Amino acid sequence: MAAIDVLKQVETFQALNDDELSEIDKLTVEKQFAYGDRLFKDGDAATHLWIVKEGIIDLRFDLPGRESSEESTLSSITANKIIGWSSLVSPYKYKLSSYCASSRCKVLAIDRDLFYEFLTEHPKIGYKVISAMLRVVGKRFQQLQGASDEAPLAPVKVTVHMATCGIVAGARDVMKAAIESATRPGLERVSVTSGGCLGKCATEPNVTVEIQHQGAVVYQKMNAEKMRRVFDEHIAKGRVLSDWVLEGENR
Amino acid sequence: MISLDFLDQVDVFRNLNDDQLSAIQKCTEAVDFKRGDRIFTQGDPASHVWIVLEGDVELRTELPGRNRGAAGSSPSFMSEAQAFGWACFVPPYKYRLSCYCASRWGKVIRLNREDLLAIFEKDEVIGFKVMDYLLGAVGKQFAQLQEEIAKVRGIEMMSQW
Repeated sequence: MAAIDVLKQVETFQALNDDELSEIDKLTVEKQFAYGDRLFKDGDAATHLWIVKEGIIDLRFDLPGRESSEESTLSSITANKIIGWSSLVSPYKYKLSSYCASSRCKVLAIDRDLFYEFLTEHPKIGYKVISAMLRVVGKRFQQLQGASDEAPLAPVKVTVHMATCGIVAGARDVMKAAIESATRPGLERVSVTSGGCLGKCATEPNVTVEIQHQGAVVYQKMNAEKMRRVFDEHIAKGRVLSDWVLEGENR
Repeated sequence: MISLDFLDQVDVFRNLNDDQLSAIQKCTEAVDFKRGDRIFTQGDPASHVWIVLEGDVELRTELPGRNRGAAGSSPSFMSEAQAFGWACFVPPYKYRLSCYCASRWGKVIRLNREDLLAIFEKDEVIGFKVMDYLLGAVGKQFAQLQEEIAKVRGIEMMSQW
């Protein structure tokens, strides 16, 4: 997909016409990362705004003396979303670290200085872009605050088993549904990750749900709709969907 | 009418020239309050941006069942020339906190959201500068909240080592 087609999908740029998008397109540079690669780390000068073109980028807080892990993921960002808005906000330093959380990630990087200079020189575009950015950041802030106000859920880890057998059986759709469900307000403590084959290839796609202080539950023959139901019932309400369980509780 | 000198002191209107401040000035309205009066309620439709002209106001969360010890739930106070109410530019356009007059007397300026948007549409330089400031202010609050949450979760994780 061409960069301009990606930009059209990004909420921040949706008010722009094709000519205006072409101007933004000129500022983008495509970069590619592999699983585990770090795009930037907490405290780095926020020199770029990033748009996820393909894959999943995890935003994590790093703990001193400890390897980065999914456990410290605050949110997972999927295609057509922006990260690195700290590049537009004083003191222009990244507040979290970001890692490629899928086998491959493609991103569009926009140099902060060039972008801001362009917006200042083109205030009509600048107004549209910054207004949209305010809506995006404000909405994320309200969601995060709403989740913090409520009694938090125990930490939950959802592993979609994505070995070749899982992918062939449709695990990518299941992963997409899991990522989308995990971005809902109140589910900020749910981390979604990919895992290897469980040795149960006949029941793929398999998904493991681990709620802190509870046993792991493995669901079998999953699809996107079943994944959303697991979020609605098991993760949000604590009701295991025993008809779909391969191993774990109630089996 | 609110003076240009006062508007010039308000951070959100920094970098605006006198002509631009005059456009803003036309949509200002001063409202008086006394201690304990509620200026708006959490969850109300957010129709105005507010600026403290005299006295102090308190912003606090008060929905029943909310976790008052949660990150970012402490009350905050605003004093002269400080602006609040950015929720009027962010969906779902509802105030996320309640606001009370916290001094014996208070005078607050309110600016109607629709009037402001009309000014921004007409002169995008004003729109860009005001929205850019608000993005910075919201981004700062967001970063503080992220830090608080990360700190709490980091402590939880370390306690499990």
